[in-house]
Amino acid sequence: MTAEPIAQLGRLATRFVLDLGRLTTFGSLVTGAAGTPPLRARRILDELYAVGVLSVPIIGASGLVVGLVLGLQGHNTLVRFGAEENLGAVVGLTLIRELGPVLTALLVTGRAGSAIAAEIGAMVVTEQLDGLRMMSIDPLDFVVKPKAVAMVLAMPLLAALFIVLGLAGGYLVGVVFVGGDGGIYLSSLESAVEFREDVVGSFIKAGVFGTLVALISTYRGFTSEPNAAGVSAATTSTVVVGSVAILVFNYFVTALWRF
Amino acid sequence: MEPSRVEQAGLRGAAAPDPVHIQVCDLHFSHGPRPVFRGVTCDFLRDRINVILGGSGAGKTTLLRMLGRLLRPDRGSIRVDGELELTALGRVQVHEFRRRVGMMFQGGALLDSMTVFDNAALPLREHTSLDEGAIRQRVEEVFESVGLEGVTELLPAELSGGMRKRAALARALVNSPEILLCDEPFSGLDPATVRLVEDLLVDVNERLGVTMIIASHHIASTFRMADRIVLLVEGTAVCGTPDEFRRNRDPRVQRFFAGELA
Repeated sequence: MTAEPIAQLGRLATRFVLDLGRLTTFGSLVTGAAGTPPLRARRILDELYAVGVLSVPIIGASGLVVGLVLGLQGHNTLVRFGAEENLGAVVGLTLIRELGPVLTALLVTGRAGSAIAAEIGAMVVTEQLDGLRMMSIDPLDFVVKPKAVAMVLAMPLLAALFIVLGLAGGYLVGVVFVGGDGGIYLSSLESAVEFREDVVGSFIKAGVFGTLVALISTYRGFTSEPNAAGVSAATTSTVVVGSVAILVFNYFVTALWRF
Repeated sequence: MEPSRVEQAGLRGAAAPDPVHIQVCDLHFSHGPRPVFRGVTCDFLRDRINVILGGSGAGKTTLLRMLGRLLRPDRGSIRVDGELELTALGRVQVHEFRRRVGMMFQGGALLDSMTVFDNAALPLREHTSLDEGAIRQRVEEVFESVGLEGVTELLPAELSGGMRKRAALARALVNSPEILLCDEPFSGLDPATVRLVEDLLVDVNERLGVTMIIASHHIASTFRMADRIVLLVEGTAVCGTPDEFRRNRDPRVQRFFAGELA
């Protein structure tokens, strides 16, 4: 009786390790396909539109609102210490180092990652991937590669958009709404932000998150059970696993980059 | 049961044995704990219409997918032209083999993000160096041969069931395959469209001389069009011509045609 929970834990651990192994193999196959001609530029552009351009409204609006909140909270806190001239630095560093790449990745996982998993899962159900195989066309190359490449390329650009609009939101609150000095806001931002340390680090984070979301969403869709429940499970697990992976990897990338 | 088209027309002499294109020997396969094949042995004739019959869950689609190397058996062999062992092929050889095969899936399996034309043109764009003009000409030729015109710029979701089957057939034929696998080409169609698709498949077989292997549970169509029937019952196969099946006294065969296993 007492052995059953332990056995269950063992089964879960085994399943986790097996899944991780399969994900790694899948990742190496997709990487191999990405480095092999044909480039499939047209399909990558189509996917860039689906993943990137269609995410612009949600990323832009979220970035602006997050910037507004940061500006408000930052101003209220800094005023207590008579340090409101540092608002630009607080908003800038928070957005560039952490909130920009992390929130962008979480939003893109929910919007585009889940869509990728659902689309590939539906292709499994309707035998479209088998149809490609029977035409001697590798689905990894034809379907997965363009989606994965588009996700990796789009994520840093979307994170940059989020950050720029977030900075604008902070400026709106700090300068337009509460009457601070625009020059002080911008000079505080400029003097606090290091290009290599902060901006490059932010892009690297976004690139890593883009790779994670690309891998997890395509893998979950590709390996989904060929039925409606399978597609649903693939979509849900993309969002859950993707979000947790982003938060965990955020710690490691931050730690590695800062040392 | 109606006489088959070969018997009706006397097109092919019964005395001359047809050459075997694909030979299946002692296939075993299980879906999890459930055994599907327990020693399936059969063969498929070159340039003829071969129909795999069987009740639901008998393994018709499973066998068809094994012939396209989408699935591997647990045990047994599948030989093409007496020499190519499908179960032992590597990744590259599988790709080469599939260039010789066309497959028409039950639901069509057309890429729903592409137009019907682009679906049919895909194998040519991927595997040939033909220019767009030549590709268009070839695709239109195949569409005409399957009686599908005026819908080429539509998306698959905008087609009726019968049209989708024709589009799937056109895509399967565009590369001039020597083997055509068809999974339940009559499922979900009304009786009139069944006859249309049936006539189309017979016409394609006669004009192109392709080895056709059709998984179906449509008995009337099978007896009208088949040159060879492979009946899957109880994990094994019974093979023969339509006429041989009419005379067959095997109780498993008789139960199937009496509807007990269907």
